Amino acid sequence: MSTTLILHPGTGWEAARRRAFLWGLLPSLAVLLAITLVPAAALLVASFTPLSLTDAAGTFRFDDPLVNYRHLLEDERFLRSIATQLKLSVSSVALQLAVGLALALLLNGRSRLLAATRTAFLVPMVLPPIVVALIWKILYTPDVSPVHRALEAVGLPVRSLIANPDTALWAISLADTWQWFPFTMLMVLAALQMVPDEPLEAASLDGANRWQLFRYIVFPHIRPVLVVCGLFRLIDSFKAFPLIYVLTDGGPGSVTEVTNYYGFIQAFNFSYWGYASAIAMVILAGVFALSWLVGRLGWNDHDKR
Amino acid sequence: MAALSLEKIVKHYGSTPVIHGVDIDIHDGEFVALVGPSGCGKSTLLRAIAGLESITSGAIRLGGRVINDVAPKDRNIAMVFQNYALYPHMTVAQNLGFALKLQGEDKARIQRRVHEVAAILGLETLLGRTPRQLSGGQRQRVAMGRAIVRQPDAFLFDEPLSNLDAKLRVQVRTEIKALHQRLSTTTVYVTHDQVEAMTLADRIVVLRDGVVEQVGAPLELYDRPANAFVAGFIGSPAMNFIPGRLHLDGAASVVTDDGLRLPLVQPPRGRHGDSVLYGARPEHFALDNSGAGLPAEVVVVEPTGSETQVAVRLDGRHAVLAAFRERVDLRPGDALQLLPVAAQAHLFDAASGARLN
Amino acid sequence: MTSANPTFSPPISTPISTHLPLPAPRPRAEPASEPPLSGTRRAGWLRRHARGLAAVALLLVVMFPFLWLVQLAFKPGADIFEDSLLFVPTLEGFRSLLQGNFLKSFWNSLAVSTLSTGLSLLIGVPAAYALTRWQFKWRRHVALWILVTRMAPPIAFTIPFFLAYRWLGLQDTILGLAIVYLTFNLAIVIWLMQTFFEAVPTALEEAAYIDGCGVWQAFWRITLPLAAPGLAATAVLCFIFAWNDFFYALILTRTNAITAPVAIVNFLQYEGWEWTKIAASGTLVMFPVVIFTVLVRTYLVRGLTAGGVKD
Repeated sequence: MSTTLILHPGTGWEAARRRAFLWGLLPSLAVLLAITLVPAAALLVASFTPLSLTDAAGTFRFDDPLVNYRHLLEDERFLRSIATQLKLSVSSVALQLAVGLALALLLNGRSRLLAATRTAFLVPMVLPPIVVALIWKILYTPDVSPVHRALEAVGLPVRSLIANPDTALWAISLADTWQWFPFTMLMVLAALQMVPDEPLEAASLDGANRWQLFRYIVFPHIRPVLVVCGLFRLIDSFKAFPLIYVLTDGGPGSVTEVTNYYGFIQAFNFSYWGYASAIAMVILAGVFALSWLVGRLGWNDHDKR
Repeated sequence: MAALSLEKIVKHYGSTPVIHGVDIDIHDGEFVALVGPSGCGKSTLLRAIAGLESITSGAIRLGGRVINDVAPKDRNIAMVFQNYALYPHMTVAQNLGFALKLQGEDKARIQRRVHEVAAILGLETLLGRTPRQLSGGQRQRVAMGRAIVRQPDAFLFDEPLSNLDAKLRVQVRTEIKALHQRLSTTTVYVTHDQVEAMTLADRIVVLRDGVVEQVGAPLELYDRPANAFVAGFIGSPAMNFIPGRLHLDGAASVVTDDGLRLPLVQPPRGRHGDSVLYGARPEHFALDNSGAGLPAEVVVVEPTGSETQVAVRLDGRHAVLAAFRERVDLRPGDALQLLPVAAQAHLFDAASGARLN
Repeated sequence: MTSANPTFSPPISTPISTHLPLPAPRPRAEPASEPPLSGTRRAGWLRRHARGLAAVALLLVVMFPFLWLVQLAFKPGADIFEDSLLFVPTLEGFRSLLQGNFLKSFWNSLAVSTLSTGLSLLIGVPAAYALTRWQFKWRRHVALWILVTRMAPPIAFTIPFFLAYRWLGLQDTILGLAIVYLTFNLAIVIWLMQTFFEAVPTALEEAAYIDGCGVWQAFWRITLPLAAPGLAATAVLCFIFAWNDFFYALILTRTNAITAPVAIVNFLQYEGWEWTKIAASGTLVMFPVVIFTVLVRTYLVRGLTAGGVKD
């Protein structure tokens, strides 16, 4: 006669399968924990100390945990760096969006020539950032720059953009835009591919001209992509380093010193590790908030479809 | 080769019960078909036998041993999938020999066995091809070959013919039957097509909403369905159901609300006045001009070649499909007299659907 | 019986390509009604090809900085202050790189990128598979975690790693750098490989289970071979991201494990402004990346948006 058996979750093939998956996942989780959460925690801890190279053991104390953060609020150089960062990020991202959008609209066609040019336009984005920095260093150094010499020949001599405090930041912004516009271009191109045909055909039959087609049909469709793209680039712009390092070294003065760079100087020029950790925590908080926003938008967009 | 038995199988997906207690006994070498509408649980049961799904309670026995907790690879069962599930990156020969390779058989033995099976299924010329290069019917045969190679205790088929076109379906169906006659392996075959079940199976299990409605040989289910659901599910075109009340005064019969008298041969279970469903298959109607027939008007005439299906309205109300073997000269709008053959009538309780005669 | 309208004729619509959604319909050149004057015909040709011409023109403008660097690498040292494009190309700049540290740094870059790619794949691929087949409750949270690790500014990780490596003795080592690169490459692998594994039907794995495979056996024999192109593309992306890194390498290496991007900057600082050397080394450093990018351009967007947008 038969006996009924109640299955325990711990036995059987399904349980064995779950265990197998767990083993596959565990190394990654462990490594990620070790190299992201642990350092992040260490950073947090360090930010509560006045840790510095000159007396590493002695300065690792917690008697005044918020000393760095208080200092940050009074530190003019830090506050200026935030303003600089915002100026650079916003101008650069806005330009990237504009150029990327314009090029995407231009290159959204079927011919093989256009397809080839689309691939060629990717080059600035895939170059090692240091190479991009070198390219623009050459262009911005009057002695060797063909642009400067050409302008001189035409009778419009221009002084070095990166040595001029008024223009240094915009020079970096331009270089950054050159490097990253292909990203926006790619994203917008992908979005354009998904604009449905029928509304376009219907509107065109109704007599809409190019601009109207764009404004009322295409643009609403790609706006979410532009937003996500913009946010992505914004977060990424906080990382900007090689350009500043090579082109201006934060100068002239500290005009192009963004927060990231200021942190770098504090950590590795002055070796004020505690203070630099506090700066890094501030940047991290900003990145976290924006990432959460991107994640929200990206996932919501998918769920809506 | 072994007997397969499912004992009090219950399955829950989370908190939703899907299978409510299924008992099926499959004899060694038997071909059993699991049929039912979509969502009845037949595929779930099959996958549970294969080990791809777990069961909440109950026991599955293969050859006497309980295999509930055994991994699929250790159950010695082979499965033919609906979408063939052939390994795209392997040739037909590699697909066929894969299981043996995993068992560690030596190359020569594998080759021999693969060729044997290929010969049975007519795949010899295709051994070097990849699945992409095969037609639907060929792929299905490779899927079957993959199952045969292992000489398992049981075959499981998961709606294997649904992706084939009608003509190919009939052809492969015959091949499957021939294969079973040759190999005599215990087979469980899931399908939603009752014609497939009728033609292939030694016994059919009709499922609905996770419960077994009836188990029996095909003709048993056809001639004596246990309830209205099975009666309506088995047989194509489907049985006609006419609601009415049981009359036991004089000759037993069923009388509809508008006075039509449907004949029965002997008094069934039930009392006079009970609400019942009178079931008559399309082929069990006869043209009757003697006066006892029911008045009907022809709506549509559909000649299929082997029979003529005539959709009529009894007394202007009840829609009935009749099928005649002989050629009839009828046109839409014609009036005629139809009489269901009393000896072949089925009677079901209107509320529960249970069989009454 | 109704009769058909005898004067019915189909409406003539503006021809629009139904294959590609254009933001605006391209103006078609008028057919035979155009007068056969050469000026008008040329104007028509221009209009048709305006887009392509504009694209190529813009391309030249945008690529100019890049091309300038490359041609500078081949210029004889004496000519770098000239603008003339007519010069006898020479490999002098490249040859001068053979002395000094550059060759070693190039080799280091190769070693670190390869090691980083290998480690990321080894650890990340099984995890990606587990996440694909195991309906994970916290998928969204994992996705956010991955995104944040990708987006976090290097400074946030560099300080702790710098301090830890001093203590662990991993300063200035290839292994140390490869481990740090896991912070972004591991996430890339997990994110990308998930989409490739999702494309393999589970029925194939089930067939393998029945044929006699365990979970990881089926993965190795069936799933992984079928996801091989995706694996290759992911590997290339990991390599590119590791190769391109500057910040981590700058901080965490000195002389032993110095990578190519950092070595170039040394030219700027320690060996004076040797422009030809700079151009030559820059060209070399970008070379593998550009080649690889062309190979994986279709997967590039996915890699760059990992974690942010659910494909």
